[in-house]
Amino acid sequence: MINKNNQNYIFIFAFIISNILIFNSYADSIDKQVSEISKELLCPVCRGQTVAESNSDLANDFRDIIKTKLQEGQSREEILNYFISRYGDSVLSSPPAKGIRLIIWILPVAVLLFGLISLIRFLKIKSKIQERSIRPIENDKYLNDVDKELNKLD
Amino acid sequence: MQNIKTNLSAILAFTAIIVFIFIMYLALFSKNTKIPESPLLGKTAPSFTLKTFDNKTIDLDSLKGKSVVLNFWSSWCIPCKDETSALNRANFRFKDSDIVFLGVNIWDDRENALNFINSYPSDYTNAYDPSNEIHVNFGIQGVPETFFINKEGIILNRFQGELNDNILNYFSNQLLNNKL
Repeated sequence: MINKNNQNYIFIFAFIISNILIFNSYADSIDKQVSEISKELLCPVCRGQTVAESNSDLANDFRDIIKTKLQEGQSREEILNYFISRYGDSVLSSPPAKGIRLIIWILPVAVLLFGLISLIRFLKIKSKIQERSIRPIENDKYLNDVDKELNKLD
Repeated sequence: MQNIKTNLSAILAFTAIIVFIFIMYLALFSKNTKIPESPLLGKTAPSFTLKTFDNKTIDLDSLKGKSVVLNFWSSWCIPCKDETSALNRANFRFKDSDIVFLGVNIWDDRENALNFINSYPSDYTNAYDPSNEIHVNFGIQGVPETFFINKEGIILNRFQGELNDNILNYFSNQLLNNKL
C-alpha cells in the first residue's frame, strides 16, 4: 500500500517528467519549424545558399529572429512576409511566379514545347517523304501505259 | 511545297531549341551583380531603441523632427574605418542643419567596438543594438550600410559601401531638400 507521502512524491515526479517531455517536444517542434522556414529563405549575403545552409552572421540572425517570432506565436506566412518586407521577394528561395518572374517560369517551357512540336512535325514530314519515295507506284497512269506498250512489244 | 514545309519546321525546331539553351544558360550562369532596391525606401523607418556606448538610450521617435543619417558598422570592417573621417566631416558641415548622424555597431563584440571607437574617434553618437534585430529590420546586407531618414521618419535613401565626402554631401542635401 502506498502511503500519502509517497503518493505525493510520485505525483510531483510525474508532473516534472511530463513537463520536461512537453517542453522538449515544444522545443523540438520550434526547432523543426525554424529549420523549415530557414530553407525557404535565401541568405542575402551568400551566393545561392539558403539561411538553413549558411553560417554567416546574417543567417544566424535570421534564424534567431525566426525562432523569436515563432515563440511569439507568429505563423510561417507572417514570418516570411516580415523578411519580404525587409529584403523583397528575392529573399525567398522560390520566388513567387508573378509579374516578370512568370515569364521566366513559362518561357523556357513554352520554347521547349514549341521546339519539340516543330521537331516532331519535321520528323513526320520527313518520314512521309521517304515513305513516298520508297513505296512502289501501282496506279500511275503513265507507268501503266508504258507497261501495256511493253507487253504489246512482247 | 512539301520541301518548304519541311525546311520551315526544321528551322523553327532548331531556333526554339537554341533559344531554350540560351535562356537556360542565362538563368544558370549569368552573374546578377545588381543590388536589389530596398523595399523600405519611401516607407517609415522601423522604430528602434539603441544603447549608446556611454550607456544612454536613444530611440528613433525621440529624433522626430530631425533628419537622421544611420550608419551601420563593424570593428572588423575596413571600409568602416576609412569612412569614419568622412562622417566626422559631414557631421561638422551639417552641424547647423537638423541632421543627426548616428552610428550603429553590429556583428561585433563590445570590447572590439570600443577599441574601434578609441582608434577612430567620431564626433557623432555611436550605439549598439541590444536586441540584435534592428539591422534585419532595416534589411541590412553588409557593412558599412547607411540609411538617410527624413524629418518625418521616412527612409529616403540607402547607400551600401564606403561613404566619402561627395556621397555624404549628395545624400545629406537630398535629405534637407526632402528628395526621394
